[in-house]
Amino acid sequence: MMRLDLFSGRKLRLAFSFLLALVFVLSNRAEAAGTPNIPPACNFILKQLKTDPTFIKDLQNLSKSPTCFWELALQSQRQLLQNKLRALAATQKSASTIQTGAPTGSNGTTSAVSKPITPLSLATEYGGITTSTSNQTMTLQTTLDGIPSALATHGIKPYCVSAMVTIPGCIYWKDLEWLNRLGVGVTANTTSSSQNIKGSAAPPQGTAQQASLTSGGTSAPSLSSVFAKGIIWRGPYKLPEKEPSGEGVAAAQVTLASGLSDVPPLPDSNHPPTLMSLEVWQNYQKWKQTCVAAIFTSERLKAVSENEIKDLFFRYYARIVGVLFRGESGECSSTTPPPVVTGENLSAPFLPNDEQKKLISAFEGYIASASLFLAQVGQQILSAAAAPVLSVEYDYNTPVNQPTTSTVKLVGSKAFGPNICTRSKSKNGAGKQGNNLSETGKDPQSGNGAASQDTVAINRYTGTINVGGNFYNSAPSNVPSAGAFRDLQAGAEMDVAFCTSAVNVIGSFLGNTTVGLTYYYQDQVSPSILKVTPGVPLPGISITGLASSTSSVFATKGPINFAQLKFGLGTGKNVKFPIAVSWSNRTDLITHSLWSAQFGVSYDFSSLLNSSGTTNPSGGGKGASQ
Amino acid sequence: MSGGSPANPGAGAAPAPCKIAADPSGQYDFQVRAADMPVKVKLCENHQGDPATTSKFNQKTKVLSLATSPPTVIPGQPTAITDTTFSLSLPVGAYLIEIVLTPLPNSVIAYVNEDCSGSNQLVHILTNVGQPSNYFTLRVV
Repeated sequence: MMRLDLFSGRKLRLAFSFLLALVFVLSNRAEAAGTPNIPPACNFILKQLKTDPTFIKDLQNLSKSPTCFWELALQSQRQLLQNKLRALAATQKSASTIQTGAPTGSNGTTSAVSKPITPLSLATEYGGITTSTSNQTMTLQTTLDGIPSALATHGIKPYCVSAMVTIPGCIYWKDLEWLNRLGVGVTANTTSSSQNIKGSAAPPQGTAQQASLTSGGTSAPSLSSVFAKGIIWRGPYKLPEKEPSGEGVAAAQVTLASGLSDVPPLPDSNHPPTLMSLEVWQNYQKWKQTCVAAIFTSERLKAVSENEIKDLFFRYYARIVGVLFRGESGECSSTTPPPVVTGENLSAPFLPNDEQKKLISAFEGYIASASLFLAQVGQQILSAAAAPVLSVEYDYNTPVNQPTTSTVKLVGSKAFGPNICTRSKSKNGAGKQGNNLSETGKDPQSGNGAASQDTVAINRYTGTINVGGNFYNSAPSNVPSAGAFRDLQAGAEMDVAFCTSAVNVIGSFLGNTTVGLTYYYQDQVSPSILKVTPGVPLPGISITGLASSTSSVFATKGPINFAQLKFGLGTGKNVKFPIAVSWSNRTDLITHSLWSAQFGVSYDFSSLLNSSGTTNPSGGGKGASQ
Repeated sequence: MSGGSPANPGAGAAPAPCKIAADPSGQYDFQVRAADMPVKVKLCENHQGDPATTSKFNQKTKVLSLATSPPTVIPGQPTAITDTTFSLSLPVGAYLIEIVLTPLPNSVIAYVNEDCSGSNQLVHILTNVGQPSNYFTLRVV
């Protein structure tokens, strides 16, 4: 009974506490709804103004602080920005001037050493590094930020222009950065030898015999491996060598500065401002002087509390909304404080007249241009190869006629040495700097969209190391001396880049080149295993003397030393052609040394979808010729 | 920055005296004499004038003439644009210098100063609030 009382009392106290908390939360929400906070961009300018009086120009001239005004009066109308972004995206698409593929890094190759960054790419390969048989494979891989990054850089989704300014539904840099750290890929076995054919033979006709044959398996490509990579450490991001064009941003700000007559010449009745009437402009000038310059002085801001600054902001600065959209006077009395601007009076009208539409469109134009531009800058920064990277890779391998295995690797890479190929060539022609805006301040070729320079810069050297282990997914119980741990493996690659794209027309077409030297070591703890089915031959392998009851064949285990000299064509291009020659002391099945040659081709889709991670596109084909 | 005299420009020379001053009429932000051209502009990381590390000049930085409405682009200006510097060589007239930066995500404010012996701030760019650009007006007399 006593326990029940105690329990009831505790429940009552809990319920009372919960009610108190609910009342507290609701009252806070009501308070927050009644007195909005100063928009972050405006608040940042006010904070700077406390110590630097020159920031008064940013507060006074809306063309110098478009984000602040947009947050105050236009942010609530999210559809306007979406429309503007789509318009810019359409202009961009028709202009065909955007270029976002990263040119840096070593050549695209899988070779024996994995690279830490996963590009959005498709590669075809033939052969194998340590395998004794060759297969044709197709590999598709990407980082997880590929699609959201493409949405932002194409204007389909808004990009958060800064960590503090919120655009409804926007994609944040931090989110893209984390997604960029994760890469996935799949390799399909497309060679015909991966499919089986079975059938039965008719009675012999002399020395010939007819057989009825059918496909023994699926005709679709079989899965060879699935892999995932995660960047566990990345060096500091660097400014991209190849930057997107800020043409759209520049044009949008010039449109604002000129249209608001924030810059000379002064307008008159014959030459009114283009974004407002002369009367509204005159009220805007009064607001600049009496509501901003006279009120928001550094001395005053330093002397008052944050709450008082908030009061000043909504009492004086926020009057600009009424000045621009409701024909209100811009005069602020020095003796009688004006009322606080609240509610609907803080927003632009939902049904603006034609003049107001032009004004709203100009601000939306700046925000949309900045959103696109900064999304493209962010994408370039993520795809920059110069930063050292350490990542972990997991491969799930399903080789033909062999047990499935898992590989876990630690992959490190660093580009270093001098930058080469640092030439810059404008798409509009060299030497035409500053001549891409038309009279209206818009780029005649790309509109408000972002064009780009054909700038190439890569580090001379790139070093990559791998350390990992390979495991059988189920321990082979019927093979003597075999355990779950198959092998320990380590590799190192050094690539040296050469700026051949500047040599001649052919060099320009083929891109830059790299020469790479790779060494790979594999210490087999457990032997390689082949799964056999009586009566069914192994593709490319012929073994005599097998007993009818044999289900597994294992080879002699031992260390594998592999060296490769590789010539990479197409560095800095979307299509890459690595050619290589290699030597190894043995393979997984064969215990004598052999030479082989490799060739491959890969296509980097980054320029199509603005995906990131174009540093080291995989694509080293391995054409074995034993 | 290496300023030096016109006769002996280059590294090791003393920084040049500042040439750009506030416009006395108040109509423009700054004024400079045509005889003092060219003037060099640099991008700084902070008030102290340290070279910028978290942003750089975008190649689309423009100079526009304010003699027309809307302003029109001056071909070939600015000149010698690098990641952190550019030069202006302008005849008598009124101009708008529209500067666009390529910022890193951790960039906060970039300061555009005249590259001279003093600390002559021309404009600041609020990169952390999603404004990678800003402008100043200049009268050449």
